[in-house]
Amino acid sequence: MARKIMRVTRTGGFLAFVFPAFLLVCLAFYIPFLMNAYYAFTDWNGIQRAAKLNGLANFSELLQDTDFFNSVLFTLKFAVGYIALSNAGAILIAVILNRKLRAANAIRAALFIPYILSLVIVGFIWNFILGAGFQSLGELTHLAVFRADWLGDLSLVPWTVISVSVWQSLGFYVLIYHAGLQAIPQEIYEAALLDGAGPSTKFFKITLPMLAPSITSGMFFSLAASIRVYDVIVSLTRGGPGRATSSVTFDIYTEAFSHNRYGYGTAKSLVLLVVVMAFAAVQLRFMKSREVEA
Amino acid sequence: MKRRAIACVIALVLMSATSFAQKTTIKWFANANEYQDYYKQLIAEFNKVEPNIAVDLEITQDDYPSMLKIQINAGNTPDIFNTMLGTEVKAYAEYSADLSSQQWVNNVLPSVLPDIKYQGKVLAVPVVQNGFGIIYNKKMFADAGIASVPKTFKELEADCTKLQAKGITPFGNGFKEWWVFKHIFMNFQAAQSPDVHALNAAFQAGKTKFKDNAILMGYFDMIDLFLKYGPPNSISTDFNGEMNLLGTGKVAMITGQGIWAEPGINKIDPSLQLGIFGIPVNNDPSKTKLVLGADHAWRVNKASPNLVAVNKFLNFWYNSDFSKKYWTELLKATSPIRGTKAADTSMNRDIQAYSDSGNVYPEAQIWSTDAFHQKFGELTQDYITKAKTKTQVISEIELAWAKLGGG
Repeated sequence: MARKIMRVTRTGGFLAFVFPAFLLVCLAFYIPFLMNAYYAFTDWNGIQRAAKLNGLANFSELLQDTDFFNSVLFTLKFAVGYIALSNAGAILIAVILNRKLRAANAIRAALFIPYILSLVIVGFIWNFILGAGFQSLGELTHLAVFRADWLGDLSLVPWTVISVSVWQSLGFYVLIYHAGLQAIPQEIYEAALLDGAGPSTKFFKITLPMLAPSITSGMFFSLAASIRVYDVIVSLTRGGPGRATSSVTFDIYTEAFSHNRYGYGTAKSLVLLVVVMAFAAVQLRFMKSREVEA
Repeated sequence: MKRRAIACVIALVLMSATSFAQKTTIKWFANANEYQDYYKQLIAEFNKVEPNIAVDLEITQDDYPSMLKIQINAGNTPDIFNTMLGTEVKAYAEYSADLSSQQWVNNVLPSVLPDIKYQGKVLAVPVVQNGFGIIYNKKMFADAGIASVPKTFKELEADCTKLQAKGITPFGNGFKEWWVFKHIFMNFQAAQSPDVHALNAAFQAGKTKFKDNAILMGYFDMIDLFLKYGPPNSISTDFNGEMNLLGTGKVAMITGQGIWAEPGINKIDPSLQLGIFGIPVNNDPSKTKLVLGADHAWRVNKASPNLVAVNKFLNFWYNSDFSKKYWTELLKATSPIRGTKAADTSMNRDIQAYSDSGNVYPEAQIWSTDAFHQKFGELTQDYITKAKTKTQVISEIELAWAKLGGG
């Protein structure tokens, strides 16, 4: 009996603490989300007063929308490139910085500065560097790197977007992996040293497995960032030339606000949401299963 | 007793407050940052005549249409807001007050009138007139021995070779911008049909095709010419880069621009003598004209409680002595108002000459939505990068017209 009462007061206490937060999240997120989802089933143009329901028409149009599929393709390409480069690059730099270099702190700060800049500004800076900057450098040096059209050549421009995004956020991932490296107990390395392990064995058998929790977060953050990639595209390429660098989010924005097809744009964003949730669930489960405890 | 005295004082204060509160405030949501100072001057002049009407000006350049949609949907429609003319007159019709009976309407240029009407009602106020064409460096043309601006496609190409012989790159192109293409294309639309509205409607209904319109097909030849005689990175050059090319003397002409580019270019080099000429769409000189028209418009919120005040303001703006110097002296632009001369700048003199001789095309771009134009620009970029073939691009433009045209 007493146990039962305790359980009741415990659930009561739990609810009392969680409910205000839950209410706020509902007000700020779930309710607006549901209100917005309604428009996915209408032909609303974002201007008119009345929106007309059109059932699943938006979703069936989506199936034949080559623009949308091309942006999905670009987003995937971007995700693979961005996740691989930013994580591998950050692990490499974090390992180097962990070797008690004298300039380690200065380098870490230098790497982190682009991360505090807004991506829009980063886009404009690189726009200038790759445009006017490279043009002048090309005239001076006659090097092919500078003469290439990094923002106009179809085979180069996806790499430009990936590189600029990696450049901008590398400092953040270095921070994650640096913290992970600090947490690895020194004794393990000493034991390995006694067993005669070389640097590459130590890296692959100790450092990488022990970094697994950091890799999980690094992968998760970079996946989330690459699915959401938008601002760098707006300021760097505007999805162009043509639609060569249009990501899903950029496509949704164009559809809803430039093409004045708010209903259809919302339908696209709903599909994106489902895909993102599926991706995140699979990735988290997979990465969690591979972590080891110290 | 004391309490009553306090009550009296409060009542007095309240009464005087209400008598002073006769002041109406108009909310004006504008989009052109570069005109900010002139708008403030306009308001100051207006307040000299109407001290009891305050105008609350808010300017957003970036992403104006989205911001406006948000305000409208939040039930917070500004008293005066900005849209494009033509198709957007219709899109925002249900929010727009009918201005047909206003005094200023009598002063609007007859050529602009059809663009501000929807279903016979005047729903929009034209902002300025713009001239569109190829901007050129007059001195470079003279140096290359080009006596007069080209009247045909062949002459244009011949002039390009003359410039190249002097070591000058003929064209600078800002082909990263989607809107540059609509400025070029509308020359072909206007040359193709005297009634662009009807031509677009035929495209939207699928009743006509590109291949049935010989002049329209010339658009792609023109793009090819601009690329052939332009610098290699045209596709990744934006508006600023384009102005820079002309301003620093790297090219002799820039494409897809108009009068608004003049101040920017002259900021780079004030000594440049700039001119503008109409795009020679084909080899028939009678088809070469300059596009001149109004594209932006002020709209009045139909549900505004301050309609009387708003109309007073607009009539002051478009009907008073102040309006005569507003466009010419302050804005240095071409006015949509009858009887006012263009500002005296090098390019404006060229535009005035076209206007005086009647050698002008209407601004055809306004009869398609910007949604279409954006798609159109992307598809032309695909044509330039060869991501799609010409046939593919043409059929996709025709599709986009049906889907996004909206005219």
